[in-house]
Amino acid sequence: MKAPLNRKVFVVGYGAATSLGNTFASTWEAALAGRAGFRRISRCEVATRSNVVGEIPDWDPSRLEYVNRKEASLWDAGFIFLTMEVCREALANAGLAIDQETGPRTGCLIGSALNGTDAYRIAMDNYVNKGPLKVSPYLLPNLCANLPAGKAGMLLGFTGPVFSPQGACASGNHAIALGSRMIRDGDCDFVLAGGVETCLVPEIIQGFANMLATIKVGPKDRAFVDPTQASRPFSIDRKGFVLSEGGGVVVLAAEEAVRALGLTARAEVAGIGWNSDAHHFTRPNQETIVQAIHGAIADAEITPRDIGAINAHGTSTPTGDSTEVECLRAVFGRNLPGIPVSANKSQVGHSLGASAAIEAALAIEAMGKGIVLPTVNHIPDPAFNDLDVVPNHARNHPHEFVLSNSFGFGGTNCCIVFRGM
Amino acid sequence: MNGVYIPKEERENDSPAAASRPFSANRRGFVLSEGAGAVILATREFAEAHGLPYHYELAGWGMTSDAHHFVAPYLETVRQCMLDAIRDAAIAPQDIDVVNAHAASTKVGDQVECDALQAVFHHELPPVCANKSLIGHAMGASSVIESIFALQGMRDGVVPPTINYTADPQIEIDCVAEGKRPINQEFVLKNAFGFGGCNSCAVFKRSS
Repeated sequence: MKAPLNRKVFVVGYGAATSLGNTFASTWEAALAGRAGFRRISRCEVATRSNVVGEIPDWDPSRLEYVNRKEASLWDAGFIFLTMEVCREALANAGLAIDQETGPRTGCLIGSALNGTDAYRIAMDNYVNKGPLKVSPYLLPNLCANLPAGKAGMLLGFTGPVFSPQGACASGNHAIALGSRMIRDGDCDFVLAGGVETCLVPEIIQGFANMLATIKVGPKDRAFVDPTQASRPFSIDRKGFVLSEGGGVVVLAAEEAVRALGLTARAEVAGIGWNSDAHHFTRPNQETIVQAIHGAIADAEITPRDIGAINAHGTSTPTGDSTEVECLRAVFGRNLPGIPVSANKSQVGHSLGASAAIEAALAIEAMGKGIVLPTVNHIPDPAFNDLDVVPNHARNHPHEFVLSNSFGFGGTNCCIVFRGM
Repeated sequence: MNGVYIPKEERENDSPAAASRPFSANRRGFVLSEGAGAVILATREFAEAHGLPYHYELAGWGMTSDAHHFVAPYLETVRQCMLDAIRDAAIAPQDIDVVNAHAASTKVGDQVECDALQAVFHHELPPVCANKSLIGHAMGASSVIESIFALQGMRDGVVPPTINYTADPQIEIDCVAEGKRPINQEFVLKNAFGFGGCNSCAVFKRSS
């Protein structure tokens, strides 16, 4: 193999669709205002109290100009059009034109935790109730994890590597990490890296409810009257995550490409730390998470004292949040109280494979503006009184380095340090 | 959708073992298989320090995407992918001793792969083997299983056959149809292509 080029890698733009808004701009505006995007589910009917979710507002792919009626009926895995649209937005936001020069040098890595399972349930329903020949001939491509990135390429014209990093709830960070390494080494000059999840179907909602992962909103819960309060990472009454749909993509570029094309660098991908637990299929493992955080900081060639803000994984589960705090204490020690810790999942919920990419975009935008986003719905937990979670309101806080954590089922960890410009 | 093998009418009782026939005139789609494979990669320094025997090097790789069609392959980007892998290995096409093809046994797929190979090798194609004639198409597992076949073949100086072969006049290829063939191999090109128009090729080198 050719020797790696050892290039610096920058984030030059992003796109997102979340429960706070169907674009990055609308998501950002709502996040900054301290809003949360949860409501009782409207996408389908469910028979569980885990019925408060994050739905992308005003998201109707059939209204996209490149989706005609035939396309809309063939591609019934929701993650395909969502990826195409978020990639389109990200490229426009970056001001990167795909042409004969840039196209072959642009890759697309879009991770997901559950991929096209929504298409599978339609096929199964057809198989059982209408007969085997009513299974869509488009089922298989709908299920393929790399298909969203491939369809984005057909829409936008790039022909670099496309595949799907599968790291459960850390997939978005895995995509950013892999894409950054590929650009650093010289395999690509640009990578659209991110994650996507369209998981709001009855079986998946019920599955998370049955494994006690998502919050069940009973009549006495504060989210019963106000569903926006369902996700409350690091709060005393956190009861599980709020399942959300979403997509997030950051545009990565090599240093010389940023300069040559006059793109605007929003942050540098400074360091990556990734490993796995070899422990349990859902429970986090402190020792390896601490290693992953240290790994990202060491890769950035800085020390924990240089980290100015933390974008937590913070899903709002009782033990997940406690373990993350234990890990942050182990890494940052007595400096931890001075480092703001934002949990974006309090606002956008947990969009599984998409969450880390959405949170990376929010963290970078915040760093660029010299602020930290809030952790909303906050009621203090005395066990975390050494933690500054930026309760309920965004705050001015200039910082040079932000650490973005993500952990996933199966014991997969991926942490990234971004440096502000 | 053309893809998976469907027997010709009134030929439903043909031997299942003859269902997968890459590059053949009578190929009728791939045979869906289950499977799994894994290889262990390590740096040379680590292998030497720990006394791990190693025989092969991942010499080069290439990845492209088609931006073309959700299942139909695209000649230009498939060709580019093979060339990228060969160039990444810092060798020329004529250094490749054997190609381990993607060859799923579909009408269009095998034709495009053969055309791309002819373009890369300027019609001086080395022997090409299609392992899917033997094990079918294990989807996401297939290329790693076939890479293991390729590595084992390099080690033993042999190439497994492409079975069930009937020559197709549209496909000009030596696909090792007569049975396993002894070939001394230093470089093997391994092709893999996927739905969504994603292509990935690797060049393996036998370590001296």
